[in-house]
Amino acid sequence: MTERAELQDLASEAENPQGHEPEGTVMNQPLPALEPAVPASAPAARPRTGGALAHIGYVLRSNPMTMIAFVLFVIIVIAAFLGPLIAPYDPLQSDVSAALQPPSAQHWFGTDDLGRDVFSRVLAATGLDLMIAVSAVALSFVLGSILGSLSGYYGGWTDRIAGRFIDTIMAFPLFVLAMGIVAALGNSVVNIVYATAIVNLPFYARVSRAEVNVRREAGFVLAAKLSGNSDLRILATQIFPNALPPMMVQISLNLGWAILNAAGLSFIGLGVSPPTPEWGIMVAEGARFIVSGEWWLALFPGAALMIAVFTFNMLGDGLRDIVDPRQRT
Amino acid sequence: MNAFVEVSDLSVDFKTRNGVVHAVRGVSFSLMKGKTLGIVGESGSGKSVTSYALMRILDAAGFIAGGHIEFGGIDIGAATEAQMRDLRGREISMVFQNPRAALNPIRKVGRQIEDVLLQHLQATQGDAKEKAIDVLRQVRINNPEERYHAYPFELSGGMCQRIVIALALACKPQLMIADEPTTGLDVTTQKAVMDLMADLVRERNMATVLITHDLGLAAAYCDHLIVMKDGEVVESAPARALFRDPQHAYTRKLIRATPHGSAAIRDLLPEDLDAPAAPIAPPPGEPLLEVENLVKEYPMKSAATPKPGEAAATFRAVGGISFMVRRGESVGLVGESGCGKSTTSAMVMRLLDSTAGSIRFAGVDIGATPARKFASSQYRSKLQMVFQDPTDCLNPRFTARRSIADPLMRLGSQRGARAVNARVEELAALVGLPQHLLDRFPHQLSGGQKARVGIARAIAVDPELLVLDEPTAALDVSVQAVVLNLLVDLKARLAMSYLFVSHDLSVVRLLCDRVIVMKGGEIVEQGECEKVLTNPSHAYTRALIEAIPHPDF
Repeated sequence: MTERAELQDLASEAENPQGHEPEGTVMNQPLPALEPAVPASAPAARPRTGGALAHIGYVLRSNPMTMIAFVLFVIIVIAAFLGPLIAPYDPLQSDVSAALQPPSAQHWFGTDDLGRDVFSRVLAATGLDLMIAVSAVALSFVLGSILGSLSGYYGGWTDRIAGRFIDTIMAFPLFVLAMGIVAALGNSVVNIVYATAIVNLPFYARVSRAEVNVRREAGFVLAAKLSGNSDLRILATQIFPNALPPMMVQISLNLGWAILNAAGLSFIGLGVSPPTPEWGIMVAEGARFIVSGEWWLALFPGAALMIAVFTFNMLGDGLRDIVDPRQRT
Repeated sequence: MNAFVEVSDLSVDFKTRNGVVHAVRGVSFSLMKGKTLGIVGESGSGKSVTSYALMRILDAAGFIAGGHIEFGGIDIGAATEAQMRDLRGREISMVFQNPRAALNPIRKVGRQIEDVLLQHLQATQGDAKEKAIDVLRQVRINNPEERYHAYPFELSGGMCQRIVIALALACKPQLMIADEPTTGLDVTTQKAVMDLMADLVRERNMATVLITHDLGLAAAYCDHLIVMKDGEVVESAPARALFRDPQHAYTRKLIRATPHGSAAIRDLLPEDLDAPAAPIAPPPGEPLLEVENLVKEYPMKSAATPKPGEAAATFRAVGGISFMVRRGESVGLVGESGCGKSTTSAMVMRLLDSTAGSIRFAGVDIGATPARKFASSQYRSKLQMVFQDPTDCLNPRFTARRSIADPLMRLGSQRGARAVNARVEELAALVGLPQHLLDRFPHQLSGGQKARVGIARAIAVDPELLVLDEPTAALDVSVQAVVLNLLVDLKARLAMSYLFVSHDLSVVRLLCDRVIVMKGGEIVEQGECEKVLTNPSHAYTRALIEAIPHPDF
């Protein structure tokens, strides 16, 4: 037994003295003879050491970066859902008389060339950007997991064909591929989602393939076969859930990247079209005014984009710790 | 003569999430040159931590909280890190449990020995290779010049452990610490490695600390033993005295629990338990499982594309074996790693397709159903298995309750969540698993508790034949004693037949009516257990029996 495992044993013993030790002391009625006298008053149930919430609390406390990321994440989600409601101005309402005003108490992030309030637009854009990112990631997570799990579990030709398909995607510079897909399919938000999903697919397929592959011959999989489970059921209910913790990290990193990708496509004029508020377009439009000194047009949507990407990147590790039951003690 | 290593009142603490853990408390011992000290204890007893403290290689959370360690006049507790680096490897060296993990997989073994020699200035670039080969020769590796160029994966487990010993001895250290050096090795390999270590230690007059959970091994190779439990030394005595007249109740319990001599299965349990006599097995009935000329061949990788007219080269894992298990009988399938016993059990369990031969279960040829389709066969529930590693065989994301319920949901006659749950609780009671543990995840259970979950799952759907694949290999001896007794009782209660796969003859003797000895995919001997073990007819069986370490006093 490794020293670490021994320690865990010790730790769990220290934590609840009667939890670990009674090998043979706690045999029940059918084999009463093997049971040395256990006082009847011995507490039957042992207090659970905190539930899921306590565990989340522990992960957040022990890692300040996760804590910061978590707070930012909550703010972003609130902005995404309530953005249009709490925005002080109508993000589409232009007012030429108030064009290109610097940040002030009235317009926190200033106004753009058509006099629209930048703060309201940044806020309103959160929902759209998040929606694109979440649906793209969800799509590639589902498709990539299925593809990767099947090739990891069955190997052979399934693996070879899926593997070459993924290699083909990876052979293109991802952003250029996304550009090509949107250009070919047509300029719409839905197509941005598809494009982002396709370029993200290989990451999920690879992670799930690797995670499934190492568990293909694990003892619990053989046991599940003996329990009469079919291959697909074993894959879905026994193996795949074990691949989730590393997938969580991937999801979180990818959300940031997907937001960046969507904004990037919009920046070069693909996908979302004006006047819809979207961070990428806003940066693109604002960039023209930086030379003339109106920096706030590009800075604030850019900063929002940066914070969102930063949040999702930071969130990954914490999310893995939260999802993995083994981290709970 | 003064003691060479003097440990007094050593305490080691670890800072963990749940507060400070006192892993080792007030341990004292002394060791002279040329002597071997055995530290014996079960997992979690702090025996490894004690040795790590000796070398000061505790991990970040651990620290020496008190006491004094003196090694050849040097105060280890007060030595600087630079001094320790110099001591480790040159003066004190360590042999680890898993030789494959201790060797760098992408470096030739000869190079790894050179590294140590060069690091401690025992050799120069010019003569390093020569010295490394010389070290290999000393650990009795044949063709050391060739083996010098081998990578760890090209060598067997026993060979790797010899390399690790060679590494440990390369710089002629004064003290060697061997942490479970032969756990995971076959019993004949274990004997070879331990004999080699004992010889080398005697030749060089070194001090040795042998850490082990195996009392028999400790007794056979140590001069003095200390028994540890929960971080404390409960008994310290010369090996002979400890076995003849154990003073502490825990030592007595350990000695009893170790399969020994002619002890029966109930003798393994503590004396004060007063268990009822072991159930007397009914006379075996009609044949339940009949295996005939079973063959399993694997294609060799190097000959993936054979030349036309030439048969593809194959590796015969199992070469045409035949045996029978009767109703109500326990049959032991014994052999060393690579002998094909696990392959055989996987084919019998229909997890693996055979190349040729037939497997008949209750008169029906179940071998005809491909393994892939067997999940939906009516015989699936009749054949179940208990796996070797209690941790690996439980899904880490399932609670114990969910794991036990798994076969019930697919194969059981229970309908509805309530009925399944009632059955799970009944099974838990049957295997002696406290109800409140059912909602824990595997990592929150101890080894013995996990083994019980595995057994409960295997017997959930009333199997007629249970294959036990080394079910106690990963367990402490006292836990092994309880689990073996549980298996014997369950067999009588539920009228099952056992096919007990193991490398440990002393355990097989306790549990089985008949034994089958396998070597290189063939059956070399089979017959009544007592007869085979007391009067083996094949040389290989004799070698297996002789290699079991046992105290001869």
